[in-house]
Amino acid sequence: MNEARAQTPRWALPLARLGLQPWDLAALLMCLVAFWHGWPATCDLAWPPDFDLYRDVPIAQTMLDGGGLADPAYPGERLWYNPLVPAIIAGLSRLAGQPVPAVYARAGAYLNLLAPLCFYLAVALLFKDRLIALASTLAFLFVTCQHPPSRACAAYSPWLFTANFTQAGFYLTLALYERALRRSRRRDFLPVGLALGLAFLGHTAPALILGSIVALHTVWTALRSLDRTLSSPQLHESIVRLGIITGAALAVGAPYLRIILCHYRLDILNPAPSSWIFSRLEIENFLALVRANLSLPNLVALVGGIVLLARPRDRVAHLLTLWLIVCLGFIGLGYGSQLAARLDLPVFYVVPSIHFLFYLKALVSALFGYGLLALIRFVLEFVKYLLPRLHGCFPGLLQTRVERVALILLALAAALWSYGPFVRQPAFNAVRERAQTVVPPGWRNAYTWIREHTSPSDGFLAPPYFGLHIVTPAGRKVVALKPVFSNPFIDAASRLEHNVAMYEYLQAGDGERFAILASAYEVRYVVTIDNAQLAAHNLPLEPVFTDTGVTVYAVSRPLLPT
Amino acid sequence: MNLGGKAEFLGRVISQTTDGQIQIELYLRCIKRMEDDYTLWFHADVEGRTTTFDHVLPTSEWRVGHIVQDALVLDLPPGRYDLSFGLWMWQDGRRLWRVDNGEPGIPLGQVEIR
Repeated sequence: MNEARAQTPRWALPLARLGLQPWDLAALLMCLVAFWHGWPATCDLAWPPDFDLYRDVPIAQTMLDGGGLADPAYPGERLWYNPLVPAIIAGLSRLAGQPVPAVYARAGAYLNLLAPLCFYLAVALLFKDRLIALASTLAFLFVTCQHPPSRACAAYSPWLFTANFTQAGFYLTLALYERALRRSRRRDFLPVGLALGLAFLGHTAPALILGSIVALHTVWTALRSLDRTLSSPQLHESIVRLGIITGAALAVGAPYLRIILCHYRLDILNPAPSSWIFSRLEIENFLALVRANLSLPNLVALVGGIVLLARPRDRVAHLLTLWLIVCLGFIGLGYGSQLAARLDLPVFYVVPSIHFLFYLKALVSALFGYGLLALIRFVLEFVKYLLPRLHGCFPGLLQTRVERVALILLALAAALWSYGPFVRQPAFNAVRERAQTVVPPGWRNAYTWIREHTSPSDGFLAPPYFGLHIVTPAGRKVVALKPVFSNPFIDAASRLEHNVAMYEYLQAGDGERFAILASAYEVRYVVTIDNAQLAAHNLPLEPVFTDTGVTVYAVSRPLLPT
Repeated sequence: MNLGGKAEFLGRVISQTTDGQIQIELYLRCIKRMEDDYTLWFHADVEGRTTTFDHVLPTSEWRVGHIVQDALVLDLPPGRYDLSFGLWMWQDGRRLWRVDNGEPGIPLGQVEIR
């Protein structure tokens, strides 16, 4: 300890006292550079840019309005999407006194900093080398992901997509698991389970990957112990540890698990949310995806992976290999499901494959630093082989220093090389422009009116696009949303059919049929957009709000059947 | 109106088809999963005579919350008819009784066919 302190430069002593190294500060600085570009993209926005965020805003608003874990769109139904991020936003909205859509638009720039910080921490703990972690974090922030939409790539994003935020929990859980395996004490497996449960409350994909890694690692350990004896204490211990992790994860994830397992029994009536396919992951685009990934950073990561595989008994190598296998397995399952759907075979969708591609990219970044170091070592050895007289000039310590200086310089060079595309990425520019225009002023006023003049139990007949962007974010119920944003345990197609039918009845002046369905869906208000005309007579409707491009009608209650 | 705690009657629409026949649309909501396919019995009563229009509904496929629209055209001689309907299992006589009054069916009002 004293020796280490003696080697620490004087300026770094205060850091050392906190258990930090200069590389930790450098990683933080790099995160702030990313934040420097992310913050201006979001700091003044009132509405988020993307459909996915409009799926999440209503969940937070419903929580704030006292609805708890209720489905934000359909009366009497339960929440179907992971609740952690909306719960955090609901809390922030209350603390800041800001509307939920504004908090969703702005908070990502801050909250998503957790992802690169946890990534750095995890890589540092896995490789036990903070310089490798810094190189990998530079790749994570600036190099590995260039142009894809934020939710398709593990990197820093100023937008609060669930996937971008919850990746922090994934890295943290993996690091905790490695630490628990290293320490080999039962009590260290409890935080792993708690973190895994929390990751599940955040997002299903990271929980699936982590759960699979833990399960496969346990099986692998058990099989290894079976080589020796069937009643191996190691086998018993592996099962106990798995039990601790599973028990803790189930306890933390219980509020959400109870809904999807006990209430809905995983009876999926609307497969659209889980069967959605990212265009680059469609079977037709497989070769294009492979070609797009033949990049230098991926090659460096591949070298890192190959060098790691040469350490078959290494625990970290094993965990990272499982990470790779699990992601590839789920991506393969996605391709298999596409194929099965085309052959009219039964299909079982878990979660969209895009999330596993996301974590594959994270693995690329994690291996980048290690791969780069391996390449530098290879080059140095090669130079020494070509110039034998250099042998004496590179004693062990000096060679290590040369390797490490080269590692950080090359990682910085890669980050600088990628800095231009990083700054020009759509997340900082085009997506911001979309956030500024996605909700027209008339619709914003409709949102305010709905919040001020209606109650959370009121149902709206609204075009699905308006329902997603205005009615449900205002914390009110709708007849139907597009299936991809709709509760998977509810028949979205039939609701959508009735949504269309009700508008047809209104256009035809058929108040009788409209009233039956309006009553069934507890419709209290009807929204028309783009000057859509309703029949002027025979309808139980009264205009109560109008602004550019939107009119809200109240349904006269006495005309509803009793 | 609630039928046996399994289906809720939401309303009906009586209209005339283009060829002058009477069409009845019934709107029901499933409120509990059903294991069997119930038969919808539809009675048109006039002067002590009953004409039935029974047909099996795929109720075992209905999901909770599902709103189902069922339509039938009444091919009847002229007269003033009292209409009613209900759900039953013709195989064993089980019925979905009305929860509010214990009656077997729901009256739909009168219709005059000329």
